[in-house]
Amino acid sequence: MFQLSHPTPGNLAMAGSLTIYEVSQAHHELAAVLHSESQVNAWRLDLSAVEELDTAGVQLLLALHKSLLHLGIVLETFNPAAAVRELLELLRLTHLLPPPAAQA
Amino acid sequence: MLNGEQWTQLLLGFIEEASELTQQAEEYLLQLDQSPTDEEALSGLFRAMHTIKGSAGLFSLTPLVSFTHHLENLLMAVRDGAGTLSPALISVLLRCLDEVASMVALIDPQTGELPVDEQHQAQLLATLAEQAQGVPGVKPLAVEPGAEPAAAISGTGGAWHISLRFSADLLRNGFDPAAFVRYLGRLGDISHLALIDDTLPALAELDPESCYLGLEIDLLSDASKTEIEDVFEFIRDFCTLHILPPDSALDDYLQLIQQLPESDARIGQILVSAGLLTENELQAGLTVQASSEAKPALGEVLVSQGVVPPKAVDAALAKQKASREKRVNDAPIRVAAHKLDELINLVGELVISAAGAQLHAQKHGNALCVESTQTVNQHVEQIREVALKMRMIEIGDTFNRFHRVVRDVSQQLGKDIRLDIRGADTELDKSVIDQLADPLTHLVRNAIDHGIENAEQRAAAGKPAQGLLRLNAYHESGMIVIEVSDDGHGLNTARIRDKAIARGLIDAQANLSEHDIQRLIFAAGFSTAEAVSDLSGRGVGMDVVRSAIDALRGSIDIDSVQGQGTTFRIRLPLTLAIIDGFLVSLGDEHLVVPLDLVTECIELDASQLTRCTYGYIELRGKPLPCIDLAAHFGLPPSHTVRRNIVVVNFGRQQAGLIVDHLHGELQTVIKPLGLLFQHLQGISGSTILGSGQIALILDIANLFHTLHHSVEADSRTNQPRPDLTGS
Amino acid sequence: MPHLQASAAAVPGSVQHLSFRVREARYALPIELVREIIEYGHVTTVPMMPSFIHGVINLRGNVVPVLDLAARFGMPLSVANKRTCIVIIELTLDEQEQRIGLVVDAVDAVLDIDLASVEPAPPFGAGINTDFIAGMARDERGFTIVLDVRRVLSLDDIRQLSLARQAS
Repeated sequence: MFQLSHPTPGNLAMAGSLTIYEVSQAHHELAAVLHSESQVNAWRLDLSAVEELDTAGVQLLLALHKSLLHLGIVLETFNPAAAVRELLELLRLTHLLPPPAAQA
Repeated sequence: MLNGEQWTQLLLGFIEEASELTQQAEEYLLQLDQSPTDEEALSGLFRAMHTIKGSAGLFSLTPLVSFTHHLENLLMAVRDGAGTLSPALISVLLRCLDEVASMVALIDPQTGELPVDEQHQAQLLATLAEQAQGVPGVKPLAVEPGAEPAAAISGTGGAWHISLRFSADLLRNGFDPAAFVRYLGRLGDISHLALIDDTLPALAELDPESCYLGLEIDLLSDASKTEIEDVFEFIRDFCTLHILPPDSALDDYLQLIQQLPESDARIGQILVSAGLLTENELQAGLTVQASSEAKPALGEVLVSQGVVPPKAVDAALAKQKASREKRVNDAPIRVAAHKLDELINLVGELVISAAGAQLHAQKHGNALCVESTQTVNQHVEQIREVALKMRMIEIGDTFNRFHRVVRDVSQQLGKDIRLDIRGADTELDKSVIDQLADPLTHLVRNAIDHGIENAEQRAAAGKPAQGLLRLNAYHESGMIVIEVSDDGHGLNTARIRDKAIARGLIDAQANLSEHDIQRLIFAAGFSTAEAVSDLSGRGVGMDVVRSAIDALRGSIDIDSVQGQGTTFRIRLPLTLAIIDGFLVSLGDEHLVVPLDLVTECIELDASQLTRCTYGYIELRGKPLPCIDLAAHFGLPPSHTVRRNIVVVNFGRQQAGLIVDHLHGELQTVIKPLGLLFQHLQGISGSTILGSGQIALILDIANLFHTLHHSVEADSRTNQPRPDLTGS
Repeated sequence: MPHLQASAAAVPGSVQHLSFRVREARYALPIELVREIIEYGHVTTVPMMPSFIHGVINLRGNVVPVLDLAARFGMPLSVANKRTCIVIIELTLDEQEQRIGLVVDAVDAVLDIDLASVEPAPPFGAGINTDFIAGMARDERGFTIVLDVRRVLSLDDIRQLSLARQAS
């Protein structure tokens, strides 16, 4: 199950699985938020509760990253769960991970 | 990672494949034991290990990969060095295969976890290394197998360059590229990796389940090109793959750059950053190439892997395609057994309803209608045969498994025994075969353990030193007969008799024929071995074999000549689903007698037999024991004047079943009677007639057996008894 | 299903039962076990079974065993008349779903029985083996015996009885 929460503008959190089974739902929800949230300077995305991630999920994050970049919005991820970190490091996508100093 | 159910499905597929391969490998190994120079067996064995290793890698089953890797290396060395496997080495390899089989069996299909007894494995591998030494052609185990020529230069430390572009459907088909990257990491060190997302659209245009990605990977590895290709074997149809060997020529890299859909500079930069090209080489190369024609379409060029001339690739691909198509046409299709069961159940229903239709047609007497229902019935019959045939498999595979049992058990006992297999192509229902393995194993072990003598005893008896165990199968009047024979010392009837008396199974004064005494070993709790042997299973006697055969609606008989050997003969129906029957009735109740067992029907002359449950009549000068079924089953006595006798033959026994009316042959689906009736003797199941009425199916084997019990009981009380042996 | 009154159904612990008659007494069993009720038709005798195992019937292509409740209670075998029915129940025996038909003299009604008001069986006098009784439910018409179906259909009992029957 995938859950996207959006407590305050620019602050989002993903929870559960983000795999080929959930990407359609996640895509739908992210696109909706993107539509309403194009005025903030940065998206802060909490990845601490992501239990499972696969390449389909990574691809969605990359597309989100691309779209935000296009709108001049910075994507900041924080607290990546172990599964997220492992996969992003494997695919050498460290730019989607928080900078080493920001790890907490 | 592949996810959830799909992943489990794939893993289950692998587990099944790997256990089959292990089984095959064992057969090859045993073949090599017989003829050590059999190259086909050796390469078959090698291929089996290679495939298990490759597939295991895809599921990150590391312990299995590394263990099979050792076996593969050894086998490759033997093959390339034209060496042979010594019996000692084969013994170790057999134990290694057991370990592979046990690892495969231990894989958790949900989690993909694989618990391993590392100490045991280390011991096995050490023994293997020890045995492998000094065998001509075998290099020490640590040496890697000879790599392909392309990889020979890998010693220089250069990296393989692997270029992957995925098709849009990859993710939807349950594949996760990351899983393949993880596995690739096991072949070596991924020095560089670039995820290509150039075609990835913005969120609004994204189809999140399509794959837009590609990978450029540099791998430092001693692996061969085939091994790297094998990593991506599962997704061959969902990706285009280029592999450049380490230190390829500049032209090859430039060609690759051109072939990839992304801009030349983009890929060029990746290669430069990977250290495969220098900036200067790139610039110079691109300038030269810029003058050549427009970049060809992706599909046209991707057949090339950069190292082989395109024409050769085309030829190879065409050949591969042709052979694949041929394989598809001839190859068996894997169908889940339950789907076949479903089909056969439906065919069964069809048989019932077709019989019903014919019955109604005959009642109404419309000639055209009768004729067309007859045609329908003929087709139904054909469909039934074809459907049942689909479940038929040859018994050979089951028999072949005993090579191993015979080899192991006879070694353990220090006996020299040859297994002779006959009738391996005899077919029977898969469900029957499945349930046959245990009783057969028991009989085989028993024959080796108790039947065949040791070398000294054999020499003393003037027999050849090598004992003979034979498994034989053949069809006989609609049943399959399976024989397990040995040329050992035969059953000791005197000892069996003593023991049966000691156990209170028979009376000391009982007057039993040799054959009757031999059959006593099937009585519950009877075991002829003085000390319970480790081999034939503690305390499990022949009674267990008999009840397993009973459960299959079969029978087991025994032929033993003291000093010459013993033959166990199992008779089984070809299938458990449908029965060819002969319908009879007792009053209002209908009964089905299995047709294969019916030899003839005769009208009962009332004067021939007194009204009692058991008696005999004279048939062609011989007494024929007869059973009044109604009386035997406690049904109301018949009021029919003209009664009939159905003569049934079972093994070498013959008897007459006294019934009221004969209704003729029918084919019918067996419906189990269920829990409430599980202890019912003499009835094996039921069936629904075309009229909707239920008929019970007679279990002749059981009926004869029960009557034999009464023979034994009567022999103790010295009452007159029916003689069922009829000989 | 005819509910009695809202008040009755609202009582917690009230369970719907099917009530039926066997000879003169009224019995009930939880309706969740009942699959269907069919007219008494031809029952094929299965030999060498205890007499209360009446035989088998063809229920739309399935062979279903039928028990004579009266005989199980130790009374003479039922003689079928117009009101005789077979109640088909389904329950798990030895971890297998099993459908079984019960011959009853007549089907009565669906009752909401308040489990709290069910009395334990008297030690004797109910006319049948006390083991078969889960309890006695009382209403304006008197007592209804709630059957303990698992005891009535005890496989162990049936096994022993059928083995004894075959040995004789």
